[in-house]
Amino acid sequence: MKTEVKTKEGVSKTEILHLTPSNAAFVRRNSLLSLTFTEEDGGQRVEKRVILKRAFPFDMPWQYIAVLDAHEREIGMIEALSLFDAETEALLREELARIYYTPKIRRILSMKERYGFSYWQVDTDDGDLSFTVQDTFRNLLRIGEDRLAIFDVDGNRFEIESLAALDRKSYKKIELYL
Amino acid sequence: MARFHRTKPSKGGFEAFSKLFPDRSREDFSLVFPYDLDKEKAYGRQKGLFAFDGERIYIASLEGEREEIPLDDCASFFLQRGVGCGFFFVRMKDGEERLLCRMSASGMSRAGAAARTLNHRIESGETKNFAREEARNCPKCGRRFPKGSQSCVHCGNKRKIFMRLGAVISPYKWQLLFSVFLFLAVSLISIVNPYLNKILVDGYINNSEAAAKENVLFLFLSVIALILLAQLLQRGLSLLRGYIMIRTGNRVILHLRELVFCKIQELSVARISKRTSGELLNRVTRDTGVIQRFLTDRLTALLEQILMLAAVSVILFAYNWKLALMVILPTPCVILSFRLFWRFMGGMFRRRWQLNSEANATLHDIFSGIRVVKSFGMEKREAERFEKITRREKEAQIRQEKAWAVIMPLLNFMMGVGEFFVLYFVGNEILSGGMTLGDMAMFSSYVGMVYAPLRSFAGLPRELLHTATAVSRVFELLDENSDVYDAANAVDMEIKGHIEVKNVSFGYEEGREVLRDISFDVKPGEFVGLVGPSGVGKSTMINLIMRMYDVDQGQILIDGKDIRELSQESLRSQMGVVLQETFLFSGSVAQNIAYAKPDATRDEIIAAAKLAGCHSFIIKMPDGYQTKVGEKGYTLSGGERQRVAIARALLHDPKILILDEATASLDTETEKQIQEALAHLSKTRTTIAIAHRLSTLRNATKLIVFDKGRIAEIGSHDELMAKEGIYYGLVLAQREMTKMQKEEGLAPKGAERKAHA
Repeated sequence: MKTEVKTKEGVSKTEILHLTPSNAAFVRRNSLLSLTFTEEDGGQRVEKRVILKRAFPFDMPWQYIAVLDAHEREIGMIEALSLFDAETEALLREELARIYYTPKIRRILSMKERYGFSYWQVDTDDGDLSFTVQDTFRNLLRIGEDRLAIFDVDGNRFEIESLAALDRKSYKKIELYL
Repeated sequence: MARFHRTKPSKGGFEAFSKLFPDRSREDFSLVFPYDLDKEKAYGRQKGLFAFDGERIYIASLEGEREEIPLDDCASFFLQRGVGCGFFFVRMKDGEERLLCRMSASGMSRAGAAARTLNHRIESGETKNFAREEARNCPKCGRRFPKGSQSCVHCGNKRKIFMRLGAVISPYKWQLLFSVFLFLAVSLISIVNPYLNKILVDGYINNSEAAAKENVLFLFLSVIALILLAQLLQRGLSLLRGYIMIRTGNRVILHLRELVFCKIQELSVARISKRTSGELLNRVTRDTGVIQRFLTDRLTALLEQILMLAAVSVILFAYNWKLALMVILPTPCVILSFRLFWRFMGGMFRRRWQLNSEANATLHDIFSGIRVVKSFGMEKREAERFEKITRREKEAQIRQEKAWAVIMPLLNFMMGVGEFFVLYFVGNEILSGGMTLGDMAMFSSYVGMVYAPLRSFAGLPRELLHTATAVSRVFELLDENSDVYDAANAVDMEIKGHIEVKNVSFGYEEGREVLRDISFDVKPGEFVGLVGPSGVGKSTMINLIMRMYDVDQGQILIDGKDIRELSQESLRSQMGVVLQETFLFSGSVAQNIAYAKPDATRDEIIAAAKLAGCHSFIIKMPDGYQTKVGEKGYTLSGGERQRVAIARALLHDPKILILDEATASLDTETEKQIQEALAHLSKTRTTIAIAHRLSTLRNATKLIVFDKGRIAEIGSHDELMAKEGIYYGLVLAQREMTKMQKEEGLAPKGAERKAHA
């Protein structure tokens, strides 16, 4: 048992470079997220534009965040945004939300299917939107029991955060596809 | 996305133009694209335009954002892809990167094209628009076109669609007309039947006066004979009709399937790989089946039922209009309730069907991965997975059957209600002497005849929709233009094997270039190796040379002629390809080797097999060259399959031989043998090979090293080693590896030797 823990730690230390408040500082400059990273030997590396990627976008949107440089090479990984101070955490959350643009659907105003396409009009946290889904059954993805991700023809994404919390009228409209 | 769809789709988001640039006209700008997201905040829709007038770029939104940058200050533009959105950046001449705007995924392909247009302009000074100027929304209804299609399924004129179906069945019109005629004859007879019954009842069974006449028996028997004759005729004609329908139906479907299948084969790899093979399979089999069923069964039956309904109604009204009204009155109710019923059940049926195909897909998934499942001991979990999905299917099925069982009898009862009224009124009339028993028998038969077609009419809209969907899917495919097509003046040409690649750029997707500005030259008979880490575009380069895709920019010339001017058949028939993933068709080994040259003699087949080093193992198999391979046949190992594929390419005797990791799954010894065989052959042909194992390319006259979509180095092995660049690094790394392997492998042997000494 003990050895197992040991190897686990060993792996995480050698394989994953963790970015923590002690070695990484994030700032937003001119709408670019930049990182000042302190190497183990004390040397400083400044990346003017870094890109954040979620490793488990559906299950853990605020944990396991890879930080890539402008050439999309990985610098390191943030285990959890909550490790950082409130200000930085808010900054990183905003940045992730910018990269993963996923309006959350609050209400389905209409959903009609014809000839293999479905046409949606929804009320989201980013205003009323309409979009088209091809092959509806395949482009609705259940995440766990209660969440639903929707992919439209262009590659836009939408999400219903809780099917249980959805009003009955909206739910009825999509019930058959679940 | 979205917003632009519904309001004014045809303008694609340009409705804001006059507000944002009140003093400019649209023609001033060579490039305009809309963006729709706030670039700073995660959320917040904007309506903005990016515009370029030849000198400066403008970014302006209705929300008040405004920016102007002279193009001279810009070094390059690029699109960073997020999830569901994209970021449009400029890299300034001083190296600074600036975010210009952000758009939802709907706007990304235009932004990507814009980046290319602007970069091209900066690099070469020319203005060239890379945007694929294809409308993406139907100009009529604003709905999005299906992916890769240019026709709207909604506005696509329905009559036109069905007219085109007419073209498909026109060769069979006489058979179909004859069948309609037979149908009519059958229905006419069935209309006569109740009348004959009435005569029988009123004239002979229930009539004491008639019984007094002399020849009553003869008349009575002749009416019965008439009824018998009518029945016989009816059955006979139905039989004939059925035979004709099945025959023509089969021909129609064969014809349709051929059309669809040939079209799929014509389409470019890009268009085909966009779809799953299951989807294509469905179009070839199921959709054509739906169309055939509609054309041959429903269409004629429909015609017959309409006529029948009209005829029976006329008879009923002529006979007794009050009674007729009583029969007709409940019909709208019946139709309506049937429609509601179908709509209700339709969803359930679909859900069950979907779950069923999901269960099948799960099964397929598990079976194809059965080795993985077993090797990890996960049988139980997979069983649970399958059980879960079948349980869902079962539940849906029970729900649907329940609904069916409850509603169907109710509906049938409702339809019967009219008959009860008829019975009541006719009974009254009979009692008061206004009508006869025969009238009643006839009437109730006719009522049945009215309701039967009505019942099927209720399901008609659904069926029409179903058919229209199938038709539009099939025609969409038939109408699709292959994006790799033969030019009008495409020629057949004998290839010598001189390949020139000039400034080629290419990307599978807009804004993501896989190859950039590639140029090289391969002389006839040369053996060229493409080297580099994975994912740098080597296989893409080969796809382009084979013209599986067309280049975005630049040219590929064979013997001085652009490959787009050659017919695809002539081009590919003179190329031989061996891929890492080899595919063998079901059939014998010999058939597979002779695939590209079916008339090859047995000597040729054996010679090719010997060259490819597969003769020795083929001869050891019990059925020799006639061993069945492929899906249901003898399982060859990866290396054996690869050698068969090489033999196939060699027998084809191509002028250009392409090997994409063709010898990767062979051991070094066998590879060496094949190498020698190839070296011997490649004197007369041009060979292009990709290999990660660099020793494979030891015979190459020239090596081209790819790095990140560009050519990093070109030269012979010795030249590149002397240069100490990327290739040098790769060779050293591999030497290190083989050294390690050797040391590990040789150590005990060495020890043994020592011991002997």
